[in-house]
Amino acid sequence: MTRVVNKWKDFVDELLAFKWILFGVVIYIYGLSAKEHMYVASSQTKLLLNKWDLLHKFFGDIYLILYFILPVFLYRSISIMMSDFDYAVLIRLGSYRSWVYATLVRLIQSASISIIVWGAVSLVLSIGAPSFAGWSPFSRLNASLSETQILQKFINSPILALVLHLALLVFSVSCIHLVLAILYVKWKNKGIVVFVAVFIWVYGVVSFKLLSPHSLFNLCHYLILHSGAAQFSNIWGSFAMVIGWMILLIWIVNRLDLNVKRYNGKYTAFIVLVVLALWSGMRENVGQTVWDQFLFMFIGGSRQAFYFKSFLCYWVLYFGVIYLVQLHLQTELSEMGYYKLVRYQSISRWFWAWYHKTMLYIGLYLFALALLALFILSLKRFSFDFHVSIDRSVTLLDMFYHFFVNGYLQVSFYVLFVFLISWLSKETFYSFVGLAILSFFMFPGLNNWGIIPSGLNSMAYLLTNDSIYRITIVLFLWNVFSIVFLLYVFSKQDLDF
Amino acid sequence: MPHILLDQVSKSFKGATIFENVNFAVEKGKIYGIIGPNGSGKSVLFKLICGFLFPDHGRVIVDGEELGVNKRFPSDFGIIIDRPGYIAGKTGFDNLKALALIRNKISDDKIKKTMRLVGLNPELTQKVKHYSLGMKQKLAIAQAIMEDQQTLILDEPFNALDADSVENIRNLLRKFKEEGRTILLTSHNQEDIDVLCDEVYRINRFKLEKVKK
Amino acid sequence: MLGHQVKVEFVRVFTWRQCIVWAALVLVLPVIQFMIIKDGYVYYRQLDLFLRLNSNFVPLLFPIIMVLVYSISFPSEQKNYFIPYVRIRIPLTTYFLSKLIVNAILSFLIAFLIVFVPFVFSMYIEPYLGIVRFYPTNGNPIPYTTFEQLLVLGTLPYGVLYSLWVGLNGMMYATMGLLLVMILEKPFIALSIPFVYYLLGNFITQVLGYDQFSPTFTIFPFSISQQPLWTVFVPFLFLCFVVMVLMFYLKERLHKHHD
Repeated sequence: MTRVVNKWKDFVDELLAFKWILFGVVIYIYGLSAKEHMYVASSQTKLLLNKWDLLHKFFGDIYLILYFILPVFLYRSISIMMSDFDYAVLIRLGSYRSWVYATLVRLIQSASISIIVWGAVSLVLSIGAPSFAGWSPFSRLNASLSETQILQKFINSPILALVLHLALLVFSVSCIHLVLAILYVKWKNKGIVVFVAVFIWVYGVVSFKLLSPHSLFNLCHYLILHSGAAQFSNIWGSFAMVIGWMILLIWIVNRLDLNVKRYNGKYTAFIVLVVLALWSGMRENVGQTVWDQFLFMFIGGSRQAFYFKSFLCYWVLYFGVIYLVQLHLQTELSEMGYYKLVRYQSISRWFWAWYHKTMLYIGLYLFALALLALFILSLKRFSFDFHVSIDRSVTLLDMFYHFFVNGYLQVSFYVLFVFLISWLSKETFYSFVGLAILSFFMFPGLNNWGIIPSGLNSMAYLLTNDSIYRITIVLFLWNVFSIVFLLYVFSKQDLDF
Repeated sequence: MPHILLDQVSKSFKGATIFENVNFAVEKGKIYGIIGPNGSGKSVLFKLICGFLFPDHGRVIVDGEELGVNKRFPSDFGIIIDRPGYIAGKTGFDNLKALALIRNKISDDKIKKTMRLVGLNPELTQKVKHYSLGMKQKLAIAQAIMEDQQTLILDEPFNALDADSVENIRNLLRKFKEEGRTILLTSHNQEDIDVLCDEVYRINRFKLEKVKK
Repeated sequence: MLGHQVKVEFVRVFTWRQCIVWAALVLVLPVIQFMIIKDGYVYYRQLDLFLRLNSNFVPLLFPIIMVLVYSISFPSEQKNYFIPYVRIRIPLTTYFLSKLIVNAILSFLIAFLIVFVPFVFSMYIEPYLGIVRFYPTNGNPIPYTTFEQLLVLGTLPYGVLYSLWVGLNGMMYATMGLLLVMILEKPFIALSIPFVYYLLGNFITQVLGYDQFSPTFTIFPFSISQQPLWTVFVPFLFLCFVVMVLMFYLKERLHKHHD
């Protein structure tokens, strides 16, 4: 309790610090000029504006954010890092990872204060404007004279738009902070971090001034919601990019303390291939919405529809991950001996220890695959409307069910399949041959009844008359059969390594 | 009730008859020696006792539980079977740690203590693939005893060891016996058998025959 | 010494069991493919049957088939510590070279037969059996494929030349597999790399829109329209380059690897 009270006390002390008063003054002065421009535009168009137009102007003005807000946050980020990077602090935090997150928390604290001050000044500046009543007539004008005129096309609620804009700004600034913090942990050089911070600011300005407004590399799209909405034709594109970066940065931060000596190229190569496979699926314009493209990315093949390129993509996306599993399995089987087994007390226990971890990773892989696909799709101007336009009978629920549930069951079967063959033949390569033979059954005419568990998670089955629930039952039964057979083999077979 | 009981056990392995109707009882707290010519089935016997192989006929019972029925592998057994097994790309300590983590019963200090006990340096950064045969053998002994396993099944534990190491391991096994542990071992060196074993059995014509000491 | 060792290797490898495996590799897939395609497809020419027999299974599994011919037996020599006992009897380079030669000859023959046997069946045996029904074209265009440019030399020369081409490619993939097994300590990775290379080659060329240079379509060009003959040499030369690099690498590492 005392800790919480102290934290609030620190917060209020910070809020009342002189620097924030100065911050508020600068915004007030700039805001006065911006307000005047808004009123001029309103009178020229003879359309009434309201407080939302002004608030969105004060919070979303590109010049204010690029030339004032961003440098302030960059400065704040660096000063927090410099003050907190002390061995007495580090030893108590216990790891560089904790230090990075602790500085991030402090930055978000500062950001909250700045938003409070910013909001207070903006409210003061909007005194006299017509009250809040949704989007104003001025904002409904089909032009780009104000931030609200862009935002109202994508979102019905001005308050939600404001909240989302602030959230995007905070996420982006947090990403920038993580980048700087990682660099500082790696090199422990203030000069490098300051250089990168300045570079980011300069890049922001240059990308705004010189790059086309529709360029993906314009930093404004990721700091300011209306800019991102105009770029991606939806409000989520910017979020997708920023959150994608954040996930990557968090992954890097979590590995900061690890003594990783050897760079594992096979995972990088696999990720590159996955991105290539997804990107090739994105290049074909097959529908209007993001979900049409998502479906096509994972189309694979069914007995009625087969495309060689989609088949190759399926190989990369699904059999590729099984290849990684086989690499791991080969190590596990070659190192497993009597000594390991006798400690597990039973082969089934050893198998379960390996299998359940593998299946957890498979689940995470499917989830990451879906996120990555959506991330790549958000780069193109597809609509995020929640329907599948190429076949109206297919709902999003069907699609996600088929992708996750049937996808998980199918990959689970592949894992059991390769394990069985490797175990019985004592040679992992034969499981690779087996998998290649199993993939034959994705060719048309070879799996007419849809009972061979090969490629049944292809999205092509959504576009045929096949029931996805029947596919679930088929895959489930194959999984059960495989496990039962495996347990039987474990219980009956002599072990001879 | 004997600690380990082979009841009318018969086994053919890779096309050859190894055992026919073998009855063998192991009491706790003793050291048993198993001798026999090459290929007579010493390793097969140990694999049967550990549950890696099933008898074609008969039963293997450990502490009242039949292997393959109530459980697959007996509890609290430390084993050395066939060639020493290891993860080539890791150090000796890392190898033992990987095994110890499975049951998570012992600390790193215990692992290091055990390594020193058998004559290995736990701080050595050399990978096991570069170990000599004797060092690999010591590592195998270390993994068999590090969790204070109460029953030790040791197939040729003195293989490739120098004279001092042999004496060291003999003393260790005597100490374990005094603590009440049960040890089954094989060796081609008659002196090991004479010096250590309370009871000696020879594999002869598919049977186990007790040898008078 | 090399000649003698090659003879020894041939004697060692020619067992009944191995001959059955090779026969299976040559016959099983084309037979299965024939059972699937004999009905339900429209054939205008005898050659169309041969082209369809070489679709689906054989093109997909080609590098795996090649690796199964001979390379797959080498890991057991490595695993069971056989190599050190060999090198005191014969220089390691001679021993490995003999294996590579035997592997090349056998894989070439198997790859040749995988294509030539179906060719002989389609062109010279099936007409007497009359299993497959042929239709008149009725003005429909016949889809010509790459290598049919060689038909001007005659049907049999076309079959032989095309089979030689497949044999050559098969030999290269098998050599790649064996070289990798000799270089790497992980047989699974080594034996799977030729297939991964082949698949990724197909994937990347397809994604970038250069189907005519994909490994599959330059060895089994029956799913794309006829391309100029020079296109088939592009991936082949790249494959030769990769194999040469592996050979040089093996030569450098030979003794260090087996110390």
